[in-house]
Amino acid sequence: MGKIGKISTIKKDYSVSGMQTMQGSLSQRGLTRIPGTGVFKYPYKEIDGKYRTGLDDKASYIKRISDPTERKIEEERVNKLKQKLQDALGGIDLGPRSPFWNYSLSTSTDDSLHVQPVKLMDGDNYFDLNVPLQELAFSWLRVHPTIASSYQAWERGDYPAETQFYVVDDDVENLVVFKKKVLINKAISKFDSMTPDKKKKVARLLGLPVTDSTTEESVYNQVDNILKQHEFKSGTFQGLSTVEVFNRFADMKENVLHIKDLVKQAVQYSIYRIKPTGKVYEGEFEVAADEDELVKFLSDDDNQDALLTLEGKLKMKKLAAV
Amino acid sequence: MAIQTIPGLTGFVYSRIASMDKRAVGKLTDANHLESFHSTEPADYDKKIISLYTQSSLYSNDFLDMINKSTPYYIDNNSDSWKWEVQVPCKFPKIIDIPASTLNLSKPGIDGQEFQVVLDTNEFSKNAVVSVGSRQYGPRWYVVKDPMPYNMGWLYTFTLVSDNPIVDYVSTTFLAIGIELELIDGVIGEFDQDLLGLPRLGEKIQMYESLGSAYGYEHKITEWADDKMMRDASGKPLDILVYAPQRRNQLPLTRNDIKWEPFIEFWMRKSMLEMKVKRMIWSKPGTVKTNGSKQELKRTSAGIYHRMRMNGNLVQYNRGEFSANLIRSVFGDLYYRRVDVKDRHVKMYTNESGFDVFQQALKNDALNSGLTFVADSGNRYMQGEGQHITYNWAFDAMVTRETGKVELIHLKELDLPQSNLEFGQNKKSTPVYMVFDVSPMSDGSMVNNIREVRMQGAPSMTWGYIDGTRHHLGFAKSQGMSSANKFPGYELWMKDRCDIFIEDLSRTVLIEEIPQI
Repeated sequence: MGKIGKISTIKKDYSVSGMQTMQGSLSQRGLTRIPGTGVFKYPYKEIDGKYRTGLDDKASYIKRISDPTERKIEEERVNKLKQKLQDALGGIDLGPRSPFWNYSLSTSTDDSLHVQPVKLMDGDNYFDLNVPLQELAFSWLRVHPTIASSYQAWERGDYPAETQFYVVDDDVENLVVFKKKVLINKAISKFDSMTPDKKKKVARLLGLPVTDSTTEESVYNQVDNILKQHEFKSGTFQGLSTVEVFNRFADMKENVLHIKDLVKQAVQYSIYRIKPTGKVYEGEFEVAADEDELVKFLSDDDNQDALLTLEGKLKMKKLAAV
Repeated sequence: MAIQTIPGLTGFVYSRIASMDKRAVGKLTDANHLESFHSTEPADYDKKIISLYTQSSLYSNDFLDMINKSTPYYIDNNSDSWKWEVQVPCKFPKIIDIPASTLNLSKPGIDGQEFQVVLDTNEFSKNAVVSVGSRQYGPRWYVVKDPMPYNMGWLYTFTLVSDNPIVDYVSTTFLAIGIELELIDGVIGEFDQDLLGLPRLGEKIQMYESLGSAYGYEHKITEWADDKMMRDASGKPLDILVYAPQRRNQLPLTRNDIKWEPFIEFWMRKSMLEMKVKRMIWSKPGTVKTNGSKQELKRTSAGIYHRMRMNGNLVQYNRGEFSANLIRSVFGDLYYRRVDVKDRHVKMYTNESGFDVFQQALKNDALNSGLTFVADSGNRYMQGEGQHITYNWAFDAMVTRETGKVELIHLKELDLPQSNLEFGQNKKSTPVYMVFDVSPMSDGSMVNNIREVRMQGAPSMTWGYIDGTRHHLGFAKSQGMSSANKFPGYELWMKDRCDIFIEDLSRTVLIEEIPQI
């Protein structure tokens, strides 16, 4: 069987209010709009004048993908598809600024030098991806801002609640999920092989509430949970990939990791204060321009006295806290 | 303080109320309130009112005029809801699944090989021959036996009809989910006893809708405020401005009330109409609860814009890419197979920027059509001579085979001020085209496809007065009056409950720029 692209309507539940409404009666029949009506879609033009073609690896929606793995998969996929479609359509320019995408330049309803609209109807809309023009239509529809990239994406709230269509593309979803899971599993395995002390240091640097008295099991569970969240929801690393940040600390040299952790704890125990400007203070005295500079300073062999002093102060603070 | 200016609109209307300081008149007028409108009076400029080239009208009622031509629908039973039926368009049976047994075949259908496919209906019976995907280019499949239920569909067993069965097989192009099939033939042999069955019946869907919540205004006036005469020393009524409704090409609305009550009553009626029109066009469907989350559930029903947008035919184009071809393709699609070419006719209700965009698109289309436009064509494009030539041409309608005559009608409601996020680049309201009825029986207006709905027991709005220690008709009527309470004044209120309903959304089209918000 040939490969099929599918765009379906998002079925919504209107029974909550208990009122008899048109949306509700359509929904009871498995419909989302009046039979026979449809939505005409045209390739979306960004404010910068580029069209969202689904074939542009520099597109802003791709740049906005925060997860590097997902971004790379999408870049590779669109490049390959663009080349394939350009070859199939006789070398026509499918770049994001090509006049091909400007429907208003089309001279008739069968003008093949310009894109044609797609009328999406209620239910499932199929695209035979063995037919180049249908694959082309599916490529720009699947990145259209009014069509959710997947049902899950709509449920997550990545698209407005009133969005009516979503892309049913199990292959792409599966590939992304698979690659993410592989990376998460590798990170967990790396974490598993660390010493208990290093585990605590990494966990603290990830922003988790870990103290010297936290049990090893608790540290493991906290790190495992955060890695499976895909991205940080809050804190210093908000919006960043959890695996990427974890790897940054896990692959750090032991001494740098130790000092970074030390500084972090020193801030937690109020030995140092970081002002909104980023400057680090001890009491009223400015110690460093920022946290990184302090780490650099303490890593220098010439400043080992300062490092030992800081370790001593931290020990005292911890004892006092107990 | 300056009048709040909203660019892109014309006319300046004033009647006798409202200072220019953005204070709402609200629900209560007391003596201090009235005085505060007139507290200080600088010297008069020699032109008391200057008409600015700006917006002061918040209302135009051409929408209301149009809806009033439709017969209202009155609910006359003990329900807030009503029901109706819509016919479901005919659809061809469709492939919804392909069993693994078929997917595993390297050349399905070769040499009379049987293969199976799941369709969404059971209307083809044994001995039928169907075309697949395309009547012209698609293969023909022969139904070997009657279909069997299979999950949500029906499992069919086919063989390929071919003159050359040894080499011919079913291309993967036609073995795909979503491909539609059509009955073409029946093949009955000498000893066959299985003839074809008739196809499925037409479908209808029962639909429901409920009347939304009511709306209304109230205002209290104290007797001290009511006692005041709003006139100057020479007896002329005091000037108070109000953002008041005005229709274009009509004289400004003026009121000369000396007493506060008649004006408030007049203004309240106007506000009721304004709100009626606004909710009928722009209201979004939903529910809310009184006092936040605890009490009565109230429904806000959808205005025509949202009904057309969410449930009718919707066209969203990129800014700057409206074209004559867009109209051809959209209405060509709607009319194709439904309406004869001679009966096609489209009326698009739009705003001023809709006119601009339409006329520019038609000019572009005309200039690219291959026709040569000669300037010296009587006075068709230019008038005058020498240094006094007027360049003068634009299209306000077009005729194509696909669409019939397409013409524009100015719906001034769509030109009313937009809030700041909605402004187009040229500060006009963004172009929007509403097509209310494309059916050949209609004149393109709303008549009888879009109707007002209300309870038969309340065919129009209601209003009343709660007289406290002052009668609403003034002092003279307050002697020996029957008071409802001892509030030192009186209260007036207005209330209505009505909705708008589109009978057949498939006749409507909404064309708009895709929002960048």
